[in-house]
Amino acid sequence: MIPLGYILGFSALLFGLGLYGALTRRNAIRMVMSIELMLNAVNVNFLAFSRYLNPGDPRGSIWAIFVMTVAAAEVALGLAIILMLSRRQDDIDVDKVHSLQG
Amino acid sequence: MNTTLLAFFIVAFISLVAAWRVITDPSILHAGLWMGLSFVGVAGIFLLLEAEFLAGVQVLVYVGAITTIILFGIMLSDVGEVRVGPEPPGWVQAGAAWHRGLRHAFPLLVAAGFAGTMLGLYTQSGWGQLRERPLELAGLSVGGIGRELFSTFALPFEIASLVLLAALLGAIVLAMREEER
Repeated sequence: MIPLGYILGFSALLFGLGLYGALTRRNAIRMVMSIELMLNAVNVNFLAFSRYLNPGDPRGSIWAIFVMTVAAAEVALGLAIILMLSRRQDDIDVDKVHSLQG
Repeated sequence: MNTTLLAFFIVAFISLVAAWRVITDPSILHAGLWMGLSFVGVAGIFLLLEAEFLAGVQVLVYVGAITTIILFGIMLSDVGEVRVGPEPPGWVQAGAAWHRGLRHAFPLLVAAGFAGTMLGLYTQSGWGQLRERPLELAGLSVGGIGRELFSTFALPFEIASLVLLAALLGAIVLAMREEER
């Protein structure tokens, strides 16, 4: 039996790591990876709350499935944008992207 | 300490260390593989939460699909790591170190502040010591998830499929070479 606090603590730490990575890394691919870590932490929270507060209710799992769908769509689009960037300017440093600046 | 708790600590430790390596590993390809390990750890947490179906989906979608597509993205983009310029003189380096410190201090504050706030909230709410109740028989089954998904959540389900279709088309158009458009 695991106390709920431990699982929530794990997910808060995982989310914090992802947030730190997404804010500090300049490599676009690493930012995408950090965002995936954050989405994973969110899923852990959904399932933990569903298991401890409402056991047997499938809605927690369904929300987690929707989050996974959006994560898959996001990573596909993100990588397509990164591929285009790497072809255009041969660098995926997000600080050097300025094609959309007026 | 019982076995479940021990398993939780091992899996959580592996997952957090792997997440840390995702951010800090100098080789971006290794970072992608560490990310896969972190996802496997999270799948283990799902198993401990008795969400076996979600653990399977996690391994299939995150470890199988997302990690693979990110590794492909790294290899195709052929850039690897953000480039480092020629070595600047000493005083510039000191300034750059100061600048880098500033650059990292604020995000560290934000991330640590967020995690700390959430931990504090959880401690105050009294959820922390909550123990799980045993699942009733035929509680969380794949059948239950499927029935709910196609009745109550039918509309969000269809919208999710549209989101996937739009992402598919968008990714194809974006990744096309300019001359092919």
